[in-house]
Amino acid sequence: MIDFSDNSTPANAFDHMEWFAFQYLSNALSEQDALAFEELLAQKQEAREALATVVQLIAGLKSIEPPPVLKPQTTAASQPAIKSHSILSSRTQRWALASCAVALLLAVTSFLFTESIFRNPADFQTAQNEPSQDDLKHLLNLWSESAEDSSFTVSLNSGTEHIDLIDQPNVLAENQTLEIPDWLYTAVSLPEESVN
Amino acid sequence: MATGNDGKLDPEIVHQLFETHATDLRAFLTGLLRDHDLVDEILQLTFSKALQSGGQSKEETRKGWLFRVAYHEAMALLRRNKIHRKSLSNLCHTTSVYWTEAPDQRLLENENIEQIRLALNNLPESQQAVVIARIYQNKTFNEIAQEFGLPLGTVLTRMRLAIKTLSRQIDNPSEDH
Repeated sequence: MIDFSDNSTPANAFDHMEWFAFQYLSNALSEQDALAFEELLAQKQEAREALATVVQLIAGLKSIEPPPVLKPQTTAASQPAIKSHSILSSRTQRWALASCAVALLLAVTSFLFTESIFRNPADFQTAQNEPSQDDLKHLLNLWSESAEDSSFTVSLNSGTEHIDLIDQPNVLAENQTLEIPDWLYTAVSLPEESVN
Repeated sequence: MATGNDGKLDPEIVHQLFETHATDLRAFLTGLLRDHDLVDEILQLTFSKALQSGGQSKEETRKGWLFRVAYHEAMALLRRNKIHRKSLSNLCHTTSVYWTEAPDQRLLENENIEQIRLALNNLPESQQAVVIARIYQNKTFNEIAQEFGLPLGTVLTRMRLAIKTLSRQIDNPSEDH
């Protein structure tokens, strides 16, 4: 059972009594405690006045407009926690936005760079692996002229319109007849001592 | 003559006592009976007793005497009508009716109401929130504790501190009689 007595000071005793009066009025006391409080009401004027005061207080509160509803306050520590959480969220959002902007910038730059390279294949290494038909003809002409000067005979098969440069050496071997001069054999022939 | 040998009290004195203490007595009886009609009935009976036998009390303890008579009359009424406090509360759906019904304007002076308004606005926000949830939104302390994410003891402490502050706006208690 609750101890209703608090005789530390008269003010404390009355505060104590008011609290139990409030609980009595709220039906927050157990049946046994409520009966005990009623016994106290029979004996102590301060208990009776405390009950009257609490009833008046609640009547007064009910008579006025409540202040604007406040957000539930949990603890003093949790309030800044909520605030810091919102700050954290905004920071995260800013970082995410900045990251997206940088990624987008890189993607656009990369795309434009690639575009410019493929529009100018001569500047790009891989583009050299796919020369145009004109380049090939020009090369073969140069080779033919050189061959004429050096007793090389190159006959170009006019039927090979499209030449895959990967197979170019083979194509040349198949379609061209080369007359190799003797001096070339002599120049590249190994000395006898190395053969032995 | 204020009192007679038969214990009767002068009607003029009874009228003064009514003017002085009726508001507090009504509030006290409301806390006990929680029914305005019953309160009126017991209040009338109390001052009738004062007329009949109030002269037996000392002048300096007359307020206490009135409260004591009111208490015994109220409890006698409850017993007579076989209305137990608990069953009365159950009949009225516990305190929700008391909390939500229109307040009796006779319980409090306008001056006190204005003081309570100011005091409520000056309460710390943590206490204000608990008072609003309990008094205006009729939430239980358990519901408030859950909603605010607080231990029940913390909510009760805040309410207790708020009551202590707010009740200072109402008349100071008198000495025990």
